[in-house]
Amino acid sequence: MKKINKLLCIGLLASQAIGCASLGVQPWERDLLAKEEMALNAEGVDLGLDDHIYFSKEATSGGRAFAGGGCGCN
Amino acid sequence: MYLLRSLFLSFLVCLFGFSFQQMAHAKTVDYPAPSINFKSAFSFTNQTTQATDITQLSQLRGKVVYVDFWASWCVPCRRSFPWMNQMQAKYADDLVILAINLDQDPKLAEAFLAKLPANFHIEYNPSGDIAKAYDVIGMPSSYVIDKTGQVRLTHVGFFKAKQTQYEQSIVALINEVPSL
Amino acid sequence: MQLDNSSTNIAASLALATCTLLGSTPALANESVDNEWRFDTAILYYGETDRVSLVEGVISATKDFGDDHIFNGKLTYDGLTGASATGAVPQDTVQTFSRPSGHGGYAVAAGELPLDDTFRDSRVQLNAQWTQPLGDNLRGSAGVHASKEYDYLSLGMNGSLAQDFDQKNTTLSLGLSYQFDQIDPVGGTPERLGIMPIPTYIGDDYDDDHDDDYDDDHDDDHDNAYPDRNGTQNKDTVDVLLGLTQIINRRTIMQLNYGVSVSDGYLNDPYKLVSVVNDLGQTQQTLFESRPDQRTKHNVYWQTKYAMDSGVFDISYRYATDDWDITSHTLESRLRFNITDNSYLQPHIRIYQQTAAEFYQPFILDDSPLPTFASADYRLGEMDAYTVGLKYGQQLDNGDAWAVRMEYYQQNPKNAGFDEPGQLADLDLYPSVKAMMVQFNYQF
Repeated sequence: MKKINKLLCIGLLASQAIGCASLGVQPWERDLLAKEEMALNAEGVDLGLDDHIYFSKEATSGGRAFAGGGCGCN
Repeated sequence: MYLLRSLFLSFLVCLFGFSFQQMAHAKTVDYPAPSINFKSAFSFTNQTTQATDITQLSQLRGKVVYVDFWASWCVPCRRSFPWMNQMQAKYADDLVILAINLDQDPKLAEAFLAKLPANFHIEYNPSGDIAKAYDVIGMPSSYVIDKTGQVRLTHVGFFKAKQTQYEQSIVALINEVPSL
Repeated sequence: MQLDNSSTNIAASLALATCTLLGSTPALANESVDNEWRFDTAILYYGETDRVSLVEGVISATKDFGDDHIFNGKLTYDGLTGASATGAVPQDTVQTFSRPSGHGGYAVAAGELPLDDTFRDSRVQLNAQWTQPLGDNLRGSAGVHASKEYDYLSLGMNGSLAQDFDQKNTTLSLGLSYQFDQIDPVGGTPERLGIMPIPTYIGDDYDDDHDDDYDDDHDDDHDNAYPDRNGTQNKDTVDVLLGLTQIINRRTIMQLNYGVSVSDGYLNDPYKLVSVVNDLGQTQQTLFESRPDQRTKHNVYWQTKYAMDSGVFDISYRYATDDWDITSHTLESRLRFNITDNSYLQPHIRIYQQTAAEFYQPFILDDSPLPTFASADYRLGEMDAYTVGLKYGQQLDNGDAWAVRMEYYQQNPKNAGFDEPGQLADLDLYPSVKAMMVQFNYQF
């Protein structure tokens, strides 16, 4: 799993570095990204409920959002 | 922990200080964009219908032209349409509003227009080359062109709070007597 | 220079509103108009086999007060009942434990994992968040939350800034949150590694006030049961979250977050126990757990969304590590298929793996010195978990939308290399936890 993690990191950095010059779109090319389901926080209510459940059942929290849980369930 | 707490508090203070500064900045009047030569800027032909007889932008000399780049998926664009209708009606003799749609699928634009009818000229530019020529950096982008064909003003985004400013800038150009 | 904010939108601003850090996801495709409230509601049932069940309801209300000045208020209510693992080991004989209140006790059958079945709690949480543009390419957001349950109070505030670069193709964001938590355990706060008193009367189920354990009129009772115990305990948590959002191309958006979270104060679970066993695996004593009073967590979160012609592919990975020696990996993916123009089906998978905290031990051996810190809470032990789910959603002609989802969640705790003396070798110390979730959403 550590190896996978390392690979992911390297891959990510490499793709960022190589792609930098050509990343992005023109302002008028955002039609697909503008869709509600393409928002990174689409289905926010679901994500919030999931965060609450996993916060109370697992040792790790946060990442997507702040790690605090606001409940005495952990 | 006290350190963290005070760090957090100072961050909040910074946030609000910063916001006031930024809001003050947002109140300044629209600036005049560097003039672009009317003809060399672009010279597009009217590709589609929508009750317009313009074939060249140059035909509109002597009038103030408000060029607006928009798309069906753009939320602030939705806010701007009622206002543009109002402006076109109010300054019918001196102002031509030219709304250039940048949807890749013009059908989406038509669906948008069915809900928010426009009483000004609509231009379709799915390839986006006109937007490129205008160096559009956000949606919507508006360019106010004076009677001589100079782009005199540009603003990105559409804010209801700034409608009066937008209107004033148009009126100022309408009142100008071209020295050319 | 007056180049105003371009196509910012509720969705992007809500990102901040829900404390997520992101910036440049553009406009919301729905018909949202200024000055209209939008409501997102959901009801969730979560049920574990033979253990906890939870019903949670959410109402989230959002309004654009004009020009992307957005308010979001969220009310969450949950009701929890059922039994949860105490951390004590099973035995081949009947075991008895005191209830947390100190009044009465309960018996656990031979071979069964000790569960405390008194857990019955309801929680109300309120969140409020304000988000607005602060400049041409800058957005700010600030929010507060309060959450209250019978023995727990949590208050928090947060602030975030998001700055767009490169025609909003790149967004950098910084968020900070501070949270104050207060716990007032039923029966008072047990002493770290203090011995749980064995109830005097032994019977099958002999609660003297079982039903009152978590009731509101109960405060006086538990003070009497453990007069020498401490009362309220506090915890402070500060989170810093740095985010980078990058639009890759017309179909792809990527997000990378780095977060640090520092907690300071009472981090124990006052209801969790650790068994002290002899070399035959027989319980000699039952102690209350003891965790360190500080914890620093780091995590890296990466997410990519890809717009297909008829759907969305979403994948994320999270790496987390902390100074309790817990390291975890989480891989999650959703694949949305649009069945028609206004309905979709969305399978979901999540794989999770964590290592044990350095002080985690399933039991304490009576011939070894008592450690400073010890917890047998399986949630701090080595574990794998996975979730599989399916969601169906539909947009109605009037603009409302509804969705239903079902998920199956299974936790497989693992032995992180502890020898199991005597009878413990024949007992299941790491039973799996299996849960079903059913959720219904309505948006109007």
